[in-house]
Amino acid sequence: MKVRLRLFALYREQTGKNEVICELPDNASVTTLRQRLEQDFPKFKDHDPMIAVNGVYVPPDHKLADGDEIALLPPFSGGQHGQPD
Amino acid sequence: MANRIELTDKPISPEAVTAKVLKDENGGVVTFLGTVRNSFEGKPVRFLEYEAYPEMALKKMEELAEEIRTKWGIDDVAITHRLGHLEIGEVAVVIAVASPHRKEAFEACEYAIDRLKEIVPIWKKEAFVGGERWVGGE
Repeated sequence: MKVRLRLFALYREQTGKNEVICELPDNASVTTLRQRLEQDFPKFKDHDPMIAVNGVYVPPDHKLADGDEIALLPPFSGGQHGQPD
Repeated sequence: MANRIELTDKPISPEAVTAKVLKDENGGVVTFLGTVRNSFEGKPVRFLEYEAYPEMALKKMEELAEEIRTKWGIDDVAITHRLGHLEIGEVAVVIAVASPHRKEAFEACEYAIDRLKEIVPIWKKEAFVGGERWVGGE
């Protein structure tokens, strides 16, 4: 199957790409995709992104389907670190 | 009706966002402005860059308005978030909430900005003297 991976902010800068088309085996999960990415970009091993498939947050074992759009999302600007405004 | 949920790369008019929720039935309108602060964790900040996953950010902002409808019965919520390069003091986000009475509008507006930071995929990079970094990044 073919899926589209989108990268933003820190991840976009670290990979130099905002979008990657990946060819994956049938029954691949988000984890499969991440392992593929870590081969090309070892820095990704340090990251713990939130994952969205077709605009919906999913767990890492989520099974992918042909044509899916996957986004690996760095921590948001205010959320986890609770920066007060 | 003007679109109540927006991303823009142009300066935001807080009045224009607020105007979207004004109705004769509403007696309380709360508008929150998030502005670019001149420091982060004690370091002086020069400017900020905001980036979004735009399709999903809009969808999550719509969901946020829906959550407010469910929790408070408030229909009138408008949110505009700025993207791109922002100078110190510029308005990064405006949230306007209107309801018949002020208490619900205050509560819902505070909920909206807290929740926006949790669920809406928007990132900011701060530029300080001698470097830059994504906030929340590493």
